[in-house]
Amino acid sequence: MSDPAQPLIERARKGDRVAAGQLIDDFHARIYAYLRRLTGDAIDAEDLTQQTFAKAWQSLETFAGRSTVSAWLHGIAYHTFADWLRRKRPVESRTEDWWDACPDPFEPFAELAERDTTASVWQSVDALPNDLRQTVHLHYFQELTLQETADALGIAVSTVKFRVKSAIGQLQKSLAEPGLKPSAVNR
Amino acid sequence: MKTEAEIEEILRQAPEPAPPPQLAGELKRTIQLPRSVNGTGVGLDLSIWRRWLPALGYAVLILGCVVVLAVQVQTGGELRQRNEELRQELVLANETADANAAAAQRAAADRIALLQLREDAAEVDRLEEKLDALNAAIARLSAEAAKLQAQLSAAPEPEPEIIAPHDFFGDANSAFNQARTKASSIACVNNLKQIGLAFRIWAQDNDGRFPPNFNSMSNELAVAKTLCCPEDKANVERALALFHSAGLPSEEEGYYRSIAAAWAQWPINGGSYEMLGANLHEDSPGIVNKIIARCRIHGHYGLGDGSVHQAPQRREGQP
Repeated sequence: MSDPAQPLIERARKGDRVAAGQLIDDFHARIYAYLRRLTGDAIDAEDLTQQTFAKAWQSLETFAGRSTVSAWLHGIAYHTFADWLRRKRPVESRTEDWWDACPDPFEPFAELAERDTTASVWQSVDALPNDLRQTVHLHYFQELTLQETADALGIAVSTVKFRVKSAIGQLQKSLAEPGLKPSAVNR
Repeated sequence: MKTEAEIEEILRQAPEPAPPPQLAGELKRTIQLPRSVNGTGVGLDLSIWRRWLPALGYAVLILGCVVVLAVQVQTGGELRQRNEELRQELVLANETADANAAAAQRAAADRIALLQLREDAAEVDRLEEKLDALNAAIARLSAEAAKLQAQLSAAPEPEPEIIAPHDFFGDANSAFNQARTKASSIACVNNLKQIGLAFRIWAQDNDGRFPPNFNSMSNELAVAKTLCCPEDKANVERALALFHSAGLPSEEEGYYRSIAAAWAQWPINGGSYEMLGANLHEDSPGIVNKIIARCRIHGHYGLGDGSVHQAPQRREGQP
């Protein structure tokens, strides 16, 4: 399976700014969305996105093409976020739920109860342990394949499968428990 | 209760927060590629070097180790070789020192032996002079005796009152006999001196060992007459007969052939002297007091150091 973004990497490696711009056009929205969901803050997400791409340009020479460009960029973003988290240790920097930044996040769900449940699920994802949370974000929210998720996190595919199963199980459990936060739908 | 599939569906339906509109532009402005395209296409492709740098680093490290190892091996080999050379030189030096010490020892022994030989030769000369004097005295006395005998035979019939001539001749003969006995004793001592000298010379040529018999010293003794005491008339006659036929020494080759032939006829240890120092070593303990040859007639004897001692003089009629 050939990655259509690989030629852009090759060109950017040779100093082609046009190709680098094309890579930004293709991936910056997804990387920003990933970091926006993780940080919970638009400014932090923007800042980390810039750091992610700056690191990507520095790491162009070392990109061997063993993973897709998407997985490679998500991996850089994941490490950038981890560094940021470790450095700043924000106790609670969230200013809002990430879906509040979307124009109509519950548009696919017609009924209120469904919207409530959906918000609970997304909320529960942020309450998962970090490794499970990262796996859910990459595999479900960012729509990376299991292999790409494994490449981005630097773990085996089997570990990704195990984490996905564990995360779904914990989400199921958390939905069944009473006392969830008030629905974010009404906020 | 939501199923796993329903939860997965909810997760997949999550909306994507839109980035700020200016973000893409900012990102493009801050692009910092490793190198920019200059349009010429000329320039060193650093990416290759950067990619191979770790491998090259290891290669250089291993190469350095190999070089260091090779240098150490070579240096070790050279040191071992030098060590071996020095060891051989040391062995050689020790051998040379031993040889020098042995040579110095031999030279000292030779000097001592030479001095001894010179002393012996001087004594032989003195004895020969003495012998000549005695022979002259014998000759003079013999002539006087012959003269007296002639006078006696020419004289008239002795008167009965006249002192009996045998008394007079008896006294003269006694003195003559004493002189002759002394002369032969000295000649015998001289023979023993020469025999002792021959022992020493023979030992010099044979690692300090004395000969097994007198005949082995034929070169040192020259003639067998030296082995015959003057009192041993029979052997003296035999030696004279054998060796006088050898001719004159001036006829070099024939002379020595004849001498060798004469020695071949001379019996082993023949003559008047007992061979008592056969195969002894001149450096063996007590050799200076060891009798190496003894006259069967006079009892004079020669010792290992070349000295000769006279036996107590026997009175007339004693054995």
